[in-house]
Amino acid sequence: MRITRKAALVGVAVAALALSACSGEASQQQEAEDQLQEEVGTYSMTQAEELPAGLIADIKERGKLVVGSKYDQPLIGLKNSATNKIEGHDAEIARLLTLRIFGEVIEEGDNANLEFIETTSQNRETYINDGTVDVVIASYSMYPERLDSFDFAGPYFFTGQNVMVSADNEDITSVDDLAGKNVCIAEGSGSIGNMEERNPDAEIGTLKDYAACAESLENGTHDAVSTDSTILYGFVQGKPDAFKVLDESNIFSDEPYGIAMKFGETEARQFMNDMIQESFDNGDWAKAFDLTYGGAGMAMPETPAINDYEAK
Amino acid sequence: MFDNFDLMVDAMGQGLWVTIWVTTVSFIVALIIGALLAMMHVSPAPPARWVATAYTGLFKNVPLLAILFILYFGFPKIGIVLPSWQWAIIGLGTYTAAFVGETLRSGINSIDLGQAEAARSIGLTFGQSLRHIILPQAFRTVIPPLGSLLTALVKNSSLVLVIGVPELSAQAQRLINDNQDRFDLWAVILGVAACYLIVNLPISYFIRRAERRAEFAR
Repeated sequence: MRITRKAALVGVAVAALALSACSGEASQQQEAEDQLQEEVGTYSMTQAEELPAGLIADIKERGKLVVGSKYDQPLIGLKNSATNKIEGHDAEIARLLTLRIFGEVIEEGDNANLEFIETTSQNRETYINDGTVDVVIASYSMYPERLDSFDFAGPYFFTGQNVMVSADNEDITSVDDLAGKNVCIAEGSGSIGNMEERNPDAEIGTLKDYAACAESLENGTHDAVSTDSTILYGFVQGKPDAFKVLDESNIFSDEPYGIAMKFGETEARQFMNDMIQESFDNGDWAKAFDLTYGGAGMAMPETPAINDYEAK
Repeated sequence: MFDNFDLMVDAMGQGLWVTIWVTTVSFIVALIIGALLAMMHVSPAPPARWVATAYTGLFKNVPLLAILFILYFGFPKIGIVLPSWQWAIIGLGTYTAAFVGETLRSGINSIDLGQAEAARSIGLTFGQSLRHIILPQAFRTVIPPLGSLLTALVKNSSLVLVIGVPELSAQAQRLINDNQDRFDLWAVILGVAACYLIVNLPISYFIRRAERRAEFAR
């Protein structure tokens, strides 16, 4: 009896130490994030005077905007396990849209007017079509072929496909060096087609998502990971000693990120285009950038030119 | 329904080929390890029996998916890095071996004790009597259950897509998720089912034929 009681006390002491160490690290990170938020400030986006009929009116009536977002991509859409908040540039665009529709952003509690739902490259199309989400803001590129199936507002950010390798890799310095190498890309991603075109000799392997690919790269099972530079940058930020992204001159595709919604929602699309343009003009887009990509060291690019295409 | 049929057939054909050879090599691995396991199960030495029981217990209770993840994502962290297809064969082979071992063990036990006694009486060691007398007979009784293990293995092989092996189901997934929406969903689904049937139905047919020949030989 005496032994087990002592063992229990020791166990509790160890657990308390371990927990305090873990939470110490987490609260440090949280402090850094709060400080960045304070430096950047709040958005000046205001509620629109008129809300068009259709999708936007439905959202206003329901009282909540439901956004499909990535949960596992740093800088773009990442769920903070401590605060349960979604962080990243895509999430900030979602918040700007919420401000535009409702005038304020409430993410918690019964009166929440913004809800995030996790979407992946594989289920995002299904979720738009069956109404699980109103829009998808999740590093979704506005390829011309996709405009036949969905409406896209934007682009709200412009990036391109690049390659990420181990930090100590000297063999691969350009996309051409990928001939015969194992490249990991997420299943269902547009990056597969782009890589096949750019370097048909690269051996493309697919895994469930980019987090799995990054893990596989770290393990040495794959030689490189290739997708949008923004996504790659997010992994480098998390583990700067493990990964590096190839020089910008290697970027080989156009990835215009857009807000995706059901096909035919022309008025909603134009409403969102106006919101995005407003964010370029009033400095909110720059704030969102500083809070996310900028905070990780990326140089601020020019704001993209909005593509208000003819309705199909 | 049949848009881009040639592209679809090409992609699924590649996947089918990968499925076939991964399954074949895994089955051979499973048979070898399984036979060893069966011998350990019936061994007179207790440590051998314990190892066999532990091995079987592990693989019958841990899902194949978990085993594949542990192999592919876990082992590299302790320094063992292999390409996905090798992990796939190791995972499928060791997993199926547990079931092969059980099947062979019951096959061995179904052989009349008189056979083992007769083998001993003409001077064969335990190992020799197993190899030359018992196992050949045991294999004949176990052909039907081994056949269904092979069929199960073909279906289980679809799991290795999660560790990046471009087998049939992985190709199907890629066709369904094609960016340019080039392929009809139903064509792909029916095509995949047809491919698995093409592989499994002949297996069942040959197993039944082998069964009948084995009966006749008795």
